[in-house]
Amino acid sequence: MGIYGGLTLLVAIHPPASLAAARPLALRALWPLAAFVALEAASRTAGKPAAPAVTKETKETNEESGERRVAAAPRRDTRAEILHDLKSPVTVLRVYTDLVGESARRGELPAAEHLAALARELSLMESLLGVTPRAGAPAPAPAAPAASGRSELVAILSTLVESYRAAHGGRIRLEFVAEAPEIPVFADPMALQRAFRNVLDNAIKYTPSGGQVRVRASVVSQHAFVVISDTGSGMSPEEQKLAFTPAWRSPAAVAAGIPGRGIGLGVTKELLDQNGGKISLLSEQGHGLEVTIMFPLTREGRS
Amino acid sequence: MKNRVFVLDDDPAMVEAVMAVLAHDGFEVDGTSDSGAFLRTVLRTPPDLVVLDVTMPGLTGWEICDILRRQPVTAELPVLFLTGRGEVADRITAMQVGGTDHLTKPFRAEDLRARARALTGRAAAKGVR
Repeated sequence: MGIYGGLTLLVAIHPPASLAAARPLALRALWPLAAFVALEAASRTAGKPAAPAVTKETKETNEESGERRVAAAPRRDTRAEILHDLKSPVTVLRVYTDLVGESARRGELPAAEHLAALARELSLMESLLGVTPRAGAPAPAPAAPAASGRSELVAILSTLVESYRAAHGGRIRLEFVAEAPEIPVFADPMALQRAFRNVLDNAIKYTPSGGQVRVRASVVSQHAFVVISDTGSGMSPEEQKLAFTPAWRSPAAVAAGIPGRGIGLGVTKELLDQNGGKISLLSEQGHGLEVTIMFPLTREGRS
Repeated sequence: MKNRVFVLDDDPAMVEAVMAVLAHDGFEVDGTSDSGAFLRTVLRTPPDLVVLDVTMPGLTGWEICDILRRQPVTAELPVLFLTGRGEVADRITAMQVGGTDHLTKPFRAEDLRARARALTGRAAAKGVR
């Protein structure tokens, strides 16, 4: 019996209901194997990252129904989610501060990349806390986006989509279309990854099972465009006006019990602003949301 | 020869920060935010230590550790978890899935360095490459 036959037999012997009763041993024995089989199968057939057999959604659904997998991420409440989001940038700040301090104690100049990382993380922290100067505050230096560096959009997006497909591909269809082999822009790749992740997180969260999330990257008139569209519940024109407001959440999403903190899109806008990007929403309620992110291809086009 | 460390965290800034600390301490470091790429690399060429974030959008660090423990080439590979959660239940889960040690965020550079040194020293003593 091959590995697939063995897996089928295990599932037949332990259907989901009995798996729940037989946990945690049966689950520990079964699901990592399934994940690994999927990984290996996909690697053999496509040479690309595999789609694990068990998705995050499956885990959350099972947790809601009372099942607790040994290795599943626990459900977090809003406060815990906010704290978690802050812990990573605080840790990164702490680590780079330590490195800079150690250089000083040795009588050396701090590494430029460590100082740059500190500045970048402070900026992210300000965005998360909503303390970045906004309208009404003293004006920042004119026309000088904070971030620097170059990013290649096709590489960033294809890696991200592949990663999300591995986690969510069993529930929804994720498609990535690049209309050019490479789309380089003047922007910090880490900021872009975070921004795209926030938009993709939302698209996946609001798209029901069987739906589709589509990512398209293109170049038009010296501008790069990334359009992330979903087949979820969409937003009314009023909701679109509020979507970038920190901590605002759609009443329908709250009523439907969709988890979230209303922070992601606001942070995304901040990150894009700092990198010369623009974001806009297009939606008809009940017919999905289309998020368009635009970057100028030249430094001169940044404003 | 330098000890090799591979880092996986869904936050690329965290990957870079961990790599910066360990590279500065003489480790040969590599890292990624892609769990598929991580597994393919680590299973093909096991390093001396892996540093795993727990909470990620695809497979969790616990799940990845469980997979590593079931493969002969990585069955004894030291695994250091990075977690934003310090609850006892999470520590128990980390140990249940075969984690060797864990650090709770936020941590200091010297804590990370000390754990990495201890875990790679332990690996050498046990004969794990």
